[in-house]
Amino acid sequence: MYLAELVDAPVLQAGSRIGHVVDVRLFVPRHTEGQRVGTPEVFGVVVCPRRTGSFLGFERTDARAPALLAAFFRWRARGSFLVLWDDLAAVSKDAVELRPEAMRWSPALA
Amino acid sequence: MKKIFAVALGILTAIGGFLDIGDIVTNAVVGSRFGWSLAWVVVVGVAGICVFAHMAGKVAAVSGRATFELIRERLGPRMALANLSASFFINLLTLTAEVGGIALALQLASSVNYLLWVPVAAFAVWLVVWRVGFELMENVTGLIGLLLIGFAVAFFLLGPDWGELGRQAAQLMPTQESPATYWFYAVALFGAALTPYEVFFFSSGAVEEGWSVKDLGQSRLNVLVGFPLGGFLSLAIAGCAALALLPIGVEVGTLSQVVLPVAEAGGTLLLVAIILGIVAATFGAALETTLSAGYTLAQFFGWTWGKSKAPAQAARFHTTMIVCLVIGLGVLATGVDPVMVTEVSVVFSAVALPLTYLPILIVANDPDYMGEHVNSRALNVAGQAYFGLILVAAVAAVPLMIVTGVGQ
Amino acid sequence: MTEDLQPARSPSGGVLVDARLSLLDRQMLDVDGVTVGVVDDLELSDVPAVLERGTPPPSVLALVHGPIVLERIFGGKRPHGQLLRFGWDTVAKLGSAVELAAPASELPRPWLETWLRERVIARLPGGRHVPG
Repeated sequence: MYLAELVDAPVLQAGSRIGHVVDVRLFVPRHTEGQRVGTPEVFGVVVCPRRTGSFLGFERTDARAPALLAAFFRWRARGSFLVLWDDLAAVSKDAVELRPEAMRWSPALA
Repeated sequence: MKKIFAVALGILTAIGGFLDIGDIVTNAVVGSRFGWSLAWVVVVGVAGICVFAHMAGKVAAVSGRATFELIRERLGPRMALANLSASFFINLLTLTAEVGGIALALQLASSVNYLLWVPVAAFAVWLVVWRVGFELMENVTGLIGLLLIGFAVAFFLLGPDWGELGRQAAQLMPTQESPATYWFYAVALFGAALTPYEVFFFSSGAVEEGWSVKDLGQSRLNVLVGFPLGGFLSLAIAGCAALALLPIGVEVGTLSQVVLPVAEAGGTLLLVAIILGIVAATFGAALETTLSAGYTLAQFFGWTWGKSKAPAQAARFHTTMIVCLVIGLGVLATGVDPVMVTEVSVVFSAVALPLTYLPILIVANDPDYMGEHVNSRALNVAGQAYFGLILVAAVAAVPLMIVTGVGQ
Repeated sequence: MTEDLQPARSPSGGVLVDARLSLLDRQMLDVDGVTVGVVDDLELSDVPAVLERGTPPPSVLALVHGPIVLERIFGGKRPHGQLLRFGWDTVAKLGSAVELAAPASELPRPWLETWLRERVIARLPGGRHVPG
């Protein structure tokens, strides 16, 4: 499986489309023996109700400047949310399916 | 002398951006038709390129990333490819025009038909890209290009009527031209001041020279000396045309008409200096656009690039530049007017501007890249104001070009 | 961005990064800082078609570089044959570029670069010399 296939893929829940994958959030653990950077694993997917493309970095809480652009891109990203890996029911390049009871978390990246 | 060489990258970038063959002729055309009533656009444009070149240079010095790498990284492959297609096309047109421009300048100097000079010019450009060190290249072309200050000398020798020029500069819309034509040239001059290849070249040149955080001061100096100098010289060219040609009703169409006021004011010696300056400036612009063609493509696709490496270490980068020069030669061999080629390209460049300057503005604020060197609030106010202006120019460019029939 | 949603608990002992933002489309540098490609895609370990709760998440196996970028833009089939794989263990640092721990000579190379070098560029006079 390739990660870029998931980016922009439609997101389904209970049979209907609720948005698109904007980004795939990875967890990079501390590195183990023989590595310099730990092997990242999928932590969750960031979903936006519209197909807006990338948030250009404005999902990070410390990205507040330049103010007008930040406000515009945050407005474009309104209604987006993070779903953790455990709440995904199926993942393929055609669609990402959420469990019916999937929790929606804040998409902000600290 | 050392001070001059320290700002060589800025001077070469600005000469290529402001004083390439298209700009030299456009400025003279504008001067002969509108006097100084479009001078404000040059001033606004110079400030704009200073704002964005400063950010691009700063990002390159702090993070080592050149502008097209930022475009690919932040906008993703689809938008980056859209930008690449537009920028590369403009770049190729400009490159073609510059090679033609070198040949036209050599024709002025030698009376040998420019078509015979075209292959010589193209080969010389390739030779410099292939064999000459980056710093020697920028120092020599920058220094000889400074001979264009001769236009300023000619301007003063022509005895400018400051009252009249001031009246032109203050009067926004001359009555004898239609508003659409006036605004077409305004967008063309603005687009020319901010042509994307300037930041591609400037940021990549900064990486080639190995700038780091301690060179931030040098980066700022390059921007603040280079671009205003370029703007000043383009105003001088427009001023010469306004003084010598506007009153007698000559509309500039060829390079020899551009230098007419210089010959009139300063005689043969100044004319020789100016022609030498034009050769150096068009040569510098040809180098800048040839290298930019390689830089943009290599940075989009992740090829190894760099003029400071042996060509064999950057084979696709060098092959791209050879192919571009050969295409330029082919286009010129058809006998197309090089000056006309750039007038079209300048307008198209307005369309590519937003996709180039948005990622620069965003990344210059990204603490992951910039750490403590993120933009100040004042720089962001200026950057966003200019980004708004760039959007307006980009939207207006093509309709204006169609309505006015390319400024006729 | 929705401000009323709760932040998810952050796992300890590592950092969270957004793949599209911080990894995809970044330049890859070898140990000497020479560009060796762009991260055109990330290869993930496979997961079952239907995910039971508790299925371990896929991990990143390699950075992938090659003509794949055209597929990302225009769609269509992946040209699997020409992909260059950079295993995750060669990654040394994630920054404004992805820094790798090996020199370019030990990393996968695109055939076009090699072909152009051997057949064209290196054969022209001065092609193997640093300018200046």
